[in-house]
This record gives sequence, C-alpha cells and structure tokens, in this order.
Amino acid sequence: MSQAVRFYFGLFFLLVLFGMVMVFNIKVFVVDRPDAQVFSIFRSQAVNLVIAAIAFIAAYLVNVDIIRGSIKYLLLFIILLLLATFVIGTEVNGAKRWINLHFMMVQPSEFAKLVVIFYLAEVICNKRDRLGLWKEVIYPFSLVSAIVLVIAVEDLGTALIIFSTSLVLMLMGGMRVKYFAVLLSFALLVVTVLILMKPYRLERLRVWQDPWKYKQAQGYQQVQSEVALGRGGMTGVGFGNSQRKLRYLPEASTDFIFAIIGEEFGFVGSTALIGAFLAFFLLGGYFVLSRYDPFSFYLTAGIVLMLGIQAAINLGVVTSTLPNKGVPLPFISYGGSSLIVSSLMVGFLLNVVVSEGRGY
Amino acid sequence: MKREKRIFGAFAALVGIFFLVVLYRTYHIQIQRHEELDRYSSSSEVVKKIKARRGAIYDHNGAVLAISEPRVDLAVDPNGIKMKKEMAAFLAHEAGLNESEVFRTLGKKSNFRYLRKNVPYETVRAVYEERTATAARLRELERRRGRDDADESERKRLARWGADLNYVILVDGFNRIYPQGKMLSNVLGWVSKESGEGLGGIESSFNRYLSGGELQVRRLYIPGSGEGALEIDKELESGQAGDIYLTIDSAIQAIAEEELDRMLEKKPALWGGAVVMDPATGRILAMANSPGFDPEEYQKVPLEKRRNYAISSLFEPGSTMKAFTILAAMNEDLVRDGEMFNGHNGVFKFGGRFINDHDKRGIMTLEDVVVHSSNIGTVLIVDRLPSEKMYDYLVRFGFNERSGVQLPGESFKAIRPYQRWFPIGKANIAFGQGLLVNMVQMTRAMSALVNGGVFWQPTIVDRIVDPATGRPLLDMVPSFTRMDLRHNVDKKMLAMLRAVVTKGTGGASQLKGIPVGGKTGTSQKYDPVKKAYSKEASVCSFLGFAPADNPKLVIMVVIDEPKGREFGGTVASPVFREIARRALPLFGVYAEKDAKDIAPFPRMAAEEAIVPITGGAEGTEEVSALEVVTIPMTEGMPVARAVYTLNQAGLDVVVSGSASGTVKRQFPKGGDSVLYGTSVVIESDESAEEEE
Repeated sequence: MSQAVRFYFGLFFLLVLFGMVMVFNIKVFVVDRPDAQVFSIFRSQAVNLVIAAIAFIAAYLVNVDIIRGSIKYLLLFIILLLLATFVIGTEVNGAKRWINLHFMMVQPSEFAKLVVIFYLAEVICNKRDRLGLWKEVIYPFSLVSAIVLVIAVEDLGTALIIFSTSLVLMLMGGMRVKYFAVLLSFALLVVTVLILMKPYRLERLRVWQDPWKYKQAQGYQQVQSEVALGRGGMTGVGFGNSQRKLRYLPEASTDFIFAIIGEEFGFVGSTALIGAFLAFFLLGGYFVLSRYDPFSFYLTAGIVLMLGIQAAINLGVVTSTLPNKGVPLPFISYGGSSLIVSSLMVGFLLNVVVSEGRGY
Repeated sequence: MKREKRIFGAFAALVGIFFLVVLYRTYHIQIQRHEELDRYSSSSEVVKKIKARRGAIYDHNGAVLAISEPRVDLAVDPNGIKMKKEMAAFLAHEAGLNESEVFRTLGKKSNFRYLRKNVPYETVRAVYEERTATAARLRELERRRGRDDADESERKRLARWGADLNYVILVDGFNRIYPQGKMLSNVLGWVSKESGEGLGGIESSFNRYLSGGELQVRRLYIPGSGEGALEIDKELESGQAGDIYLTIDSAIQAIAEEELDRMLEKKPALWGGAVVMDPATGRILAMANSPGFDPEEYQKVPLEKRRNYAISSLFEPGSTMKAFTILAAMNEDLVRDGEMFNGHNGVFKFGGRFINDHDKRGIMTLEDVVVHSSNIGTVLIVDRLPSEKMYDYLVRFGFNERSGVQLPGESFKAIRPYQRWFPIGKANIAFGQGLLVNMVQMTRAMSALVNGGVFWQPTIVDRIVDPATGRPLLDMVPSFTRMDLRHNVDKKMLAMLRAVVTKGTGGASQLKGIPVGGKTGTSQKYDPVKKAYSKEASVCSFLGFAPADNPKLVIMVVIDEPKGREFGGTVASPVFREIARRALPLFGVYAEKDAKDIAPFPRMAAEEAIVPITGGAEGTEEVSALEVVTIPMTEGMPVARAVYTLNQAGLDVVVSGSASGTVKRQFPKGGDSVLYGTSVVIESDESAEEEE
C-alpha cells in the first residue's frame, strides 16, 4: 500500500514539477520578453506552487470528518461565490470566470468541483440504498444541476466535467438505471439549449468536423495544435525549441500545453505524458477499489473520475478527438485555481487512503 | 459495495480506453502526419500589401478610355535556386529571355529579382505545368523507390528541381490599358509601369481616387506545396478605387483628333489643338492634341510631347480677343448704334507708335471692324474704355486666372496690372497682344458670350464612382460667375461674329446649311531668346460657335507654328468647320437640304494677321508687354526645392511622379528663355520601391 501511495505521490509531484517547467518555458522563452515580466511570471508561478503545496499538505492532514460536517455551508458558500462572479467577476478572453484577489485570480468553478464531490459523497453515504427512490434522487440531483447550470453559463467545460462525474457517482450510489437514463436525456436537452444559447459553441462543433477548412478563423487553434504536435514527430524538436508557442498557438501555456509538449518532446514525450496520466488514473482507480469505508470510496471515486475525465477531455481536445472545449490539463496547465484544486484533490485522496490504511 | 465498484470499474475503463484513443490520435498526428504538418509549419504567413486594381476612366457615355487589366510579373528568388543553369535555360525559353542574362540574375545574392514584367499567359502556364509534371514524376519515382539505382539519382534531381521551381515567383499586378490608343492621350496622361501610379494628366491629378491605395491581404507561403503564393485569405484593409467618368464624348473627341491630324498632315505645324465645349454647362466635350502619343508606350515619347498643350501652352490670342474687348466697350455704352470709325487707310499713329491694318479701309461700321478684324478700329473703340475698367473686364472674362478645369498643369499668366501698362498697352491688349491665354480660358469666355454671361468653371471630370456600389465618391459641382450684359450686346456681338464667317476673315469656317459664327486669330510668336516677335512663327486660331442661332458647341482650334505663311482663317477655320459639320448631327442639328454651296474667301482669310506694333519716331524696336525669364536648372534638386525655385522665377510647375524624390528631368531645359508664366514639367525619380 505505501509503495503505491509513494508512487502515486511521486507521479503527482513529477507532473506538477514538469508543468511548472513547461509553463515557465512557454511563457518566458518568447521573443524579447523583458526581464521584469520574466520575474513576474516566475513570482506568480512560485506563488501558485507555494499555495498548491500548502493546499496539498492541508488536505492531506485535515480530518475529513470536519469537512463532511460543514459540507452544507461550503456548498452554500460556493454557490454564493459562483453567483458573485457574475457581478464582481473579471473577464478574461471573453469569459467571466475569475474573481480578482490581486495576489491571484480565483476561479470559483474550479473549487466547486471539489465541493460537489464532497457533497455527493456525503449525501450518498447518508441515503445509502435509498437512492433507488425518485424523491431521494431528485433533490441532490437538482442541487448539483443548479450549480452545474450556473457554471455552464461561463465555463461549459468544467460544468460538463462536474455533471458527468456526479451522474456516475449517483449511479454508483444506487440510482436506478431508469432514472439515470431520464436524467441523462434531460441533461442532453439542457446541453443542447446551452449550445444554442451561445452560437460559438455550435460553430465549434462544425469546426471540429474539419478544422482545416476554417484554419484562418474558428479552426485556427485546432489547426495550430495539430501543427505543433505534428512538428514534434517521433523525438520532438527539443526542450525550449517549440516554434508554435511563440505566436502561432493561442493558450499555449494553458489549455493547449500538451501540443507544445508534443512538439518539444515528440511522440516519445507525448506517450510518456499520456502514460503518466493513465498510470495516475489507474493507480487512483486501484485506490478507489480498495476502499472499505463508503465515504472514502465515494470521495476517492469522485476525485479519480474527475481528474481522469478532465485530463481525457483536455488531451482529446488537443488531439482533435473532441471538439474544442477549453479545460486545463490537471497539474500541468498554467492556472492557480486549477493547480490548487488538483492538489487539494490529490491531498484528500491520499489523506483518506493513508488514514484508512492506518486504521483510523 | 460490489455493485458500486463494478459501476466505477466500468466507467474507469471507459476513461482508460479514451486515453488509449488519445494515444492513437497522438500517434496519427505526430508520426503519420508528421511530414505534412512539419511542412505546413515551415510555411510562413505574411500580411502583404498589394496594389488595388486601379479605377477605370470612362467617357461621358461610359465608353472605356483607360482600364487596368490583371497581369503577372515573373520574378525569382536567386538564393533559393540551386540548379541555376537548368533554371536559366527553362525560364529563358519559356519567357523569351536571354539565357545568359537570366543566369546572371540567378547568380545574384538576393531574395527577389524581377526577370520580366508582364509575362504572357503561356509563360505562367508553363511554370505551373512544369511544377505539376515534376511533382507527378517525383511521386512515380518515390513509389518505385529502391528498385533501381539509376532512379535514385533521378529522384534526387527531380526533388531538387521541384524545390527550385517553387522559388520562381509569379507576382500579380495590373496593366494599364488604353483601348482607344492615342485618343485623348495628352488629357488622360499615363501610368508609371514601375510604380503603377499615375504620372500625367487625369491619371495623375485624380491618382488619389484611381489608385485606391493598397490592399492588405494575408498570404500564406507554403514551400514545397507546389505553389508559391498560396492563398489570399482575407482582405484586411482594402482601398477604394474609384472609376472616373469624364464629360468627354468619345465621338466628338475622335472627330476633333481626326480633323486636327488631317490638317497637320496637310500643313505641318508644331502642334495643333482643339477644345469643344458645351456652352450651356461649361462641360468639355473634346480636348484634342495633335500629335498625341500612345499612353501604353509612353516611355517612347519624350516628356514634352506628352503635355496637354490645350491647357499648358500659353499663346497671345490675337484677333480672337477683339470679340471680348469690343464687347466690353459696348457693354459700357461706349459705342453708339450706327457709329462709324475711321480706318485711316491702314496706318494709324497711336500713343507714339504705328498701328497697321492689312486690310486698308476708310470709314467702317462697328461690324466692319469686327468682320475685317481691323486693329485700328478696335483700338479706337477700346481706347474709350478706361484702363481700370478694361483690366476689370479682362479679369471677369477669366483671363487673369486659371479656368479651373480639373487637369494638372494648366498654365496662366497674370495680366500686367493696368497701372503698369505701357501707354500703348491698352491698345496692344485690345487686339490680343501682350497677354497670354490658354485654349480653355478662351473657350470658357466664348461660352459665356454665347450663353448670356455665365462663366462656368470648365469641367472635364463629371463624377467619380465607387465601382462596387455605384455610389458617387465625388460629384463635380462646377462653380460659375455671371457678367451682366446690357442692351443685348452679346446678341449684337454674336451677329457680328456670324458675319465674320459669312463675309470676313473666317470664311473657311462656313458650313453648308448651318449658320456658324466665330473669330479668327493669327499672332506672331514672341521669341523669348531674341526678345522680338518672330517673322515666321505664328499661332493661328479660330474660336467659334455652332449653330449660330442656337449654339450647341463652342469650338476653339489652334495651330501652332504652321509652316509657311498661314493664318487662323486658312488653317484653323477649316478644322473648326469639319469638327462642327461632323459633330452637330450628334446634337440633332442637320444642314438644310436646299442650302447653297459656299464659296470661301481665301483672300479675306489672309488679311488679318496682326502685325506687331512697331516703334514710332523714337526707334523701331518692337514693344512687347511680355516678360521673359530664364529657366533655372533644377535637375538633381529635391522636388520641393525645384518647385520653389521655379515659382520664384515666375514659372509654373507640373510635377510628374512622387514629390518626395529628386528631379530627374525637366522640360523645358534649364537656361532656356521662356515667357513668364510658362509651365515647366519636372519629372521626379520617384521612390524606387522595387528591386529591393
């Protein structure tokens, strides 16, 4: 057990470290970047790293029961925060997802991911074997759906991740397949409406079919992503030598960081990274399956699924396997909130795994 | 917890499988599509400026006078081409060039060299076909790769050749086409073959509208894709080129040029010009220069021959001016009806000088003075007009300013202020000497006389239209001034001018079946070098209108320095007659069928030459009110400085080309003596924007 934990933590640590190096590489080695900017990038990276480390340690050490007990307040808090974002939020690239705390930008939707997992794990544990009843399902489902809808307005990708994870968790918690189908079709209806609400989302679907047709416009990012990957070939152009990060590929340090990694390290590097994520995911799955305590089981299941789905979506988008939907690559992509929440998740996961092993 | 774990396991497996799908996609993109994407990534995307298609010039009826056609220039990137010998042979053969010259160009250290501008379509096709053929042959060899050693060297050669072909650059541009050839050439001007900017005439003065600025396009260059410049994706910023519609009527223009050419063929002269104006509106229907030039081959004709003499050449109008000076006296009530004037038998001493008439006469009526173009009679009449008043009239007739026609290089000469007139100055000007005019000024004044005193700003550009929308970018609204003409003096003058044709010096202008009117003019040219009036060189003119009872056209014809002893009545009048005869039917004016044949008066025509006033008792030197200046040399000067220098010397300047360069050439040459106010054309070396 402790071997697996060490390996899991090691993978997590390496991924975060690698992400730090890559983000620094992408953001700094750009033509004529003034020193002041280099320093500010370095500082914000360092701040993120320190906060992430603190978050991880806190999550690892904290007594999970305290969070279980206060989950309703946390849930209320995050809902208020999400609503507040509409009012006092800061818009970046046309999306209003951030609250500016001046030393960093906080993205409430990221934190909502973790809160929802905690909430569902708690609810399922409380209502074990009663989720077969419609009236028991409908309340948590509506609550989660409300949160998902609020998030979906500005951040459809995160909303989809939360929603799919939630559905799976509830199905595991005893929800009947019949309800699952009903809720899923309902959700699909909502997604359709959401897509029709913002025309660019529909366009993204069309572009996804043939990004090269729209390579100067909506398909640009997709095409540039493929070009960056393709340039890498088998062994890549070498660390720091990416050409596409310079000005061609937008979001090179965030949602499309995998394309630059593929360019610099080639198929060998991509395979290693995908392998690392797969291993991380499978190892997480192993932890989940070896849980006995129901709460730990649902908590770890939620965390593992959510991280796995997010990584899969990100990699799927970069490789044009999925339509362009901006979600960060966990641990790697630039972004304080994403890194902190990922660290918290891993922290909580290892927390319950280790404490259960210790026979809490 | 078995069920829960199974469900989790199933979904986890789905996610895990998806990771494998992603891994496969990564393999597909990074390994299978590596070459294609790598090539794409070495393509470069550039925002490029290309010239927008230049606007067209149409005549009044929409007939094309000048239009831009797409053309392709052949260029190479010598740095990129490795098989220089083969390439030189190929390009020389396809583009009809000298092989060793092409080879030399290919040897230059450069990224861009023009080989030939405006290559024919066949050359473009040959380059494309060679590329396609090479690519096809290469594919074929790559398929059979490894089977035959001989194929391998051939494959390498073809690969290199295919790459080299991509360094042959076909540059899109435009050719300026003048479908009517020489027609209207001096008015239209020409467009630089190098820069594509208008350098003369309307092409130059309306260049701002015609050139439409630059088109910003985003282009993608993909080396090795078989295409040099692959796509124009987006017009980032497009200039708006306007089409110009002139007031010119091609039919009348053609007639005018034909008749001028015919006359010049019969009676060789330095130059001939004709201006046809619609008197009711001041619109110029034709402006002919003979000889003209082919604007598409402008470089074969020296700069001075490309000038629009109809507006840039100043001349002393001679007797045609009498119509206006006598009109001024009449309008001031200074001539009584039925008054008689003493012709003094051809010699009259006035202000200490002798004034002569060719046609020696005694007592004359006012009509006789006009009909026989009597200098003495004119002086007697106009002398009644105070100098101040006369000057005022000349100004109001428009002889003291540019006519305002929208053409570059219109010359004018300010009339010497009346305070500084020689004692004889007024008499001199009264019959058209000592002041300089251009043809458009005269036509405009005659139109005003014909239309009852409205002096229109002459127009030649009717409107400028955005070809995309048909919306006018510029509508010409000509300004005008009025002159009060009292007691029907204009009608009386028109009747007398009609009599000039029926009984006087303008007999050769008579048209069978259509009454016309007008005034002849012949003036000795002033030689600025000798500072004396020339004995041989003269300017012969006719300024008339037709039909006389309801004038549709005002036509001025000028023949400059005809060889031999010629007069307005002998060389200019016939041209007027032929233009009027052929043009009037276009306005629904036809000759009366039973009109009598006309016997012209050649003798009369010869009797109106103005003999310069010669000195009286004090001496015999000729008196001229004209000032002579020496042209400064401006070659090599910055254009702005040259303009200043020439203006200071009292000369008009027409700049051809960019105002930022230095003067390459000037005409007339520095050191020449010319009349004050003459326009000097300077040619700028224009910014060398090509050939790196």
